[in-house]
Amino acid sequence: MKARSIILDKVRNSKPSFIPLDDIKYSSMVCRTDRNNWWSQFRALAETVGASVIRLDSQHDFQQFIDEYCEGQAIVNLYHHPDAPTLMPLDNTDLALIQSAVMPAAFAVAENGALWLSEKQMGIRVLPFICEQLVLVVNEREIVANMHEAYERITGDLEGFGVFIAGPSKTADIEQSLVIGAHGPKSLTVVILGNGGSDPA
Amino acid sequence: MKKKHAELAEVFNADESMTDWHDETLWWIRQKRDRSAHNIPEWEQLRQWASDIKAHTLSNLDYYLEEFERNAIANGIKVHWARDAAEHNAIIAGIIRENGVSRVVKSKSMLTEECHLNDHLKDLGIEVVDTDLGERIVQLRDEPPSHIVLPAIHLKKEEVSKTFHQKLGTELGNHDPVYLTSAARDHLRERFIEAELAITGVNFAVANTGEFVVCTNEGNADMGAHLAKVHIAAMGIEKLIPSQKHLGVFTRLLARSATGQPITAYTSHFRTPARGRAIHIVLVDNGRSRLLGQEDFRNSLKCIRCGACFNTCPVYRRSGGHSYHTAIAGPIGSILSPNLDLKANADLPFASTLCGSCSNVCPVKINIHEQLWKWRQVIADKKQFGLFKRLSMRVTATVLSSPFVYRITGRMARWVLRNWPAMINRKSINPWYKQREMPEAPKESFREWYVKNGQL
Ligand code: SF4
Repeated sequence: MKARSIILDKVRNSKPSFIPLDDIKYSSMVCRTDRNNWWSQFRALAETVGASVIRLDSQHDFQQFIDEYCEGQAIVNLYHHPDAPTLMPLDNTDLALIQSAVMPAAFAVAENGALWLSEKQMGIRVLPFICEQLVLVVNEREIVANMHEAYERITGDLEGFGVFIAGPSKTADIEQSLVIGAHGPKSLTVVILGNGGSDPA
Repeated sequence: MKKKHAELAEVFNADESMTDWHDETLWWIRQKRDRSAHNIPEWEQLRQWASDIKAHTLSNLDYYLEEFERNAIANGIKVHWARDAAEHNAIIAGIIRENGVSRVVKSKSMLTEECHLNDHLKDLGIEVVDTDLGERIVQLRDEPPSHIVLPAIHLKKEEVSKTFHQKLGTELGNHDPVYLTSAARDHLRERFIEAELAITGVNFAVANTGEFVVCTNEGNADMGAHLAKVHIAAMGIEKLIPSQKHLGVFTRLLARSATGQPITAYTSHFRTPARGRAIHIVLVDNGRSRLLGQEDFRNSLKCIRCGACFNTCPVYRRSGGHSYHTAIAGPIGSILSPNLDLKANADLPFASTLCGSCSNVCPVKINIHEQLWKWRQVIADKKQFGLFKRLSMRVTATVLSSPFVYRITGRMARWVLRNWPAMINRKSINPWYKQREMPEAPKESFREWYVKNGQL
């Protein structure tokens, strides 16, 4: 506790006089994102950061895709079975054997190709990082223009952990050569469910 | 005495092709940053906002620290305070001991470098494995990182291959980055799975929610933090921002400034520990409050450690990060390090051309080159120069303050350059000519030319 009060006192005595902060007006920004075209912009950016993006128009197509994509693999599908993790007794060694994980993303960001997942969507925090192949599913309507809008959506979301994921795990630490699959997934597939995808009605 | 920047740069410059490669690679990253920034029409507005948010936070830092602490504790995070590097190391060692752990994994944190945490833990018999690939490479070589974002940028793949062959048993002579990265992946996966305790840095801490954000491309911070039972995050007190919505500004700027990516692959927000797990956060001062009290240098606390000022700096690019002999190299390190130890780091504010390129790229608009210039004045006042530099500065002052002496000296210098170049070209007398060619001396000075031709 001593360190705490000493640091706070020093900060109090050294800080400059108060500088007010105006509210930041994101809406005043010039924004190049064309609102009608968010999903194609999202797709372009997600591909730039190394993800593959497919668009499917019905639940049936989606199910077919998952069946083909994951055939014969150790897979956790949280899209159709959100309770799956609580049913599985998983220790670290078991988790490391998971080949594919499918999970819904809450929303996607057009300006950078990122998707937001909170604990609710990933079940176990390490799951989107430890699997070899990650599939994230997002509804076409759940795309926001930029990070300002993204944080507006997150505000009030009181979950313990959340992450923006943009592309698969990557590194360029050896001579700046880009290598995909540093520690986490070697691939990220983003499935965009078009109109009618998530609610066929 | 510790070697100085100029001597260490000379060592780096000895390998000319390596120096060229280093220079070109960093310039290429700088260009990627430019393209990325130009894609955002509101870029300048974002920089201004980032700078304003930080200025406001610093002016109210005690309040935000307490607000953060309160919210973090309410979230179930254990908060610790450290006045200096020694306390930071002791707190972390204490948590490791309490948990009865002897091996830990650590993702990138420049603060733990600044505090020399690895050495401290090693002395206590605790094994620390750095999990960022670049950091793991330099750790296996027993070297410090040479860049805050690209820790192994001073190495070619052949050197990495040799190190991996010796330490990880990879094939001799296989220099393929894909092969080497996959070997590191397997090696580090084992460590992640066994690890009981993980240490990470903090990119941003949010006062109004008590959460903190960690950005990586590899996902190594998450692999460590989520697999281990205990997560310790080390954070400098300047990392705070007031509210979550401000993250929108910083997450747009950080990766674009660092590597030109639109965002890092993972931007992770830690708010509460997972069930049955623990998160500790260590709030570290280590000279930051002193910097806050100095008007001339306060702005350097806005730094978000993107590395853009490194990549653009003509001196950094040609002298290599290790020549700065401190944890944080480059232009910003040359401002921060004299605050930690003026005597040992008095050479660093001189490792700059003051061209201002660093200030131009800085996403939080720190007046980097002006602060370097200010440090030079402080250092001159405190007489932290060698005798030769003091004398030559006095001579320069005399020459520049008298037009007559200036003209005479100029004429003499041109005569010497034309007729007796060896006098000046001797590198032992004039270090300026190291790695440089001689200019050809003009016959007349500009003044003489102007007197003749000026009235045309
Ligand atoms: S001083 Fe500015 S440019 Fe340099 S690392 Fe810090 S934020 Fe980036």
